Amino acid sequence: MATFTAPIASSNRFSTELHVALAPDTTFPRLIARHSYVHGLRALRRPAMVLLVIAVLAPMMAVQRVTITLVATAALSWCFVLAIQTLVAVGVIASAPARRVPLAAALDLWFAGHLPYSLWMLVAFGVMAESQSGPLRLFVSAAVVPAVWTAIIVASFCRTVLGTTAFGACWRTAVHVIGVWAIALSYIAWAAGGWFQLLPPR
Amino acid sequence: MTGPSLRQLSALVVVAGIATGTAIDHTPTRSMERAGEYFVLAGDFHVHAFPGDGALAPWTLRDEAAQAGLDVFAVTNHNRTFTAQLARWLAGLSNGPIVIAGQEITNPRYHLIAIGIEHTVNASQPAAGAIADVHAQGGVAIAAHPTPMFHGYDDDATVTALDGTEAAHPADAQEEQEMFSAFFERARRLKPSIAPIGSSDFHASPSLARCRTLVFAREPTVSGVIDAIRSGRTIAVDQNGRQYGDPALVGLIAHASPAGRSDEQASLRRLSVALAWLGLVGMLLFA
Repeated sequence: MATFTAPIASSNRFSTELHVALAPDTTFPRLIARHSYVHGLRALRRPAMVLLVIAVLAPMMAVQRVTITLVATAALSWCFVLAIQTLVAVGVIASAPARRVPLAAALDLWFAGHLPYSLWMLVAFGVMAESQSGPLRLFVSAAVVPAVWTAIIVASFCRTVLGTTAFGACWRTAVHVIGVWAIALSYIAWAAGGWFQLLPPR
Repeated sequence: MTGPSLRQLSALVVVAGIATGTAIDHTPTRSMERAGEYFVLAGDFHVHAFPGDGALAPWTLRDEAAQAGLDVFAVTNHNRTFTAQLARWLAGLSNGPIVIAGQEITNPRYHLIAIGIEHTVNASQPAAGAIADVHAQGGVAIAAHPTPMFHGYDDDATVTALDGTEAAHPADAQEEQEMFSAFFERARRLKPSIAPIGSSDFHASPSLARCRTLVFAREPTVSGVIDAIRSGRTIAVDQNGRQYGDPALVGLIAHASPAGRSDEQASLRRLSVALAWLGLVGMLLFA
């Protein structure tokens, strides 16, 4: 893995998100100094990127079109996802008093770890946009890949940015994973008419 | 002085994709078809919207329904009617397809589409009770994707109380569509006037109006549509164009051009989607 990612890690042509995804333990410390001067608006750029991905992909998947109206209304509709992610992130960051950067910078670094889920959405939604009945179950099952990948990034974030112990990183990561999936599944159950809808038919 | 970065170029590609999609986007206008004394309306009575388990908000959905060649559609989220009421209220502010408020009454033993209702129907009761509640509100009750898995429809008396059944529903396999057809045949034997319904069950994949219902309404209004379903004056059309319903009604539209999706600039539309997608990939991977 290290051999494979070394050319990317040493190149400045690739995004910070890709560096974080491939080598979080070395990338976060390198970014900390640079982000010590992050101000409010600059801290919004990575969440804005996540929202852009969702807002473009949602209409692409649902109606095979992208227009400014569709993108704007999708952004408006789905911005609550970002709000929830931000609340979860603030909770994790606030739980570590020894963090090495201010809150805004920590949030910026937190959202630098969004690449696994963004890539998963790009692939899954992109394929579903091309087929009227995409392999939905396959993509939902494949979500385990970004889930595990993100957990690795979050654990590294806790150790290197928040300055926690390895144990502290573990339990914060566990709380994050459980919290995010509990919220996501609760929304799906609410929208689908009940928890029984999430169970296989009997 | 340095040139634009790969990320900036990728952002421009995203903008180009969205701009292309916006430039070619127009909502088609449709003239209502007539067949004898009836208006023939293309409908989709099983559509999910956001907030809920649909990807599109009600104000976007109506435009998409027009793009899909629909004259009428019903918003039917699971076990709640808030989004449907919002969609109906918004529809009053502009021209476009008729919007009917509804609910997919969702119970482990049955799924039932209720349209033309005012209040949420309790889903924790047997299907017969839910159908009675729908009728009490002046609505119509339609069996949703009825497969043998749903034992709520095992009872003949319950089936007889239905106003319609989804004879056409998007199916991944031929056997699935055959189950819907078989249920429709059973229901028609028990109640010859039952309305065949074609619905897309739209959530988040590009399927709106993939299956549709042709409604023979005396007037192009919500009450006209509800009355037509209650009287069984519908034809269900499946994803392959096969029609289910009264041969006399099928004969009435034999020479009419079937309503369909307007996609005059498909290649440009696909280009805009591809540009936006590739641009996002670039923005994520490059600095």
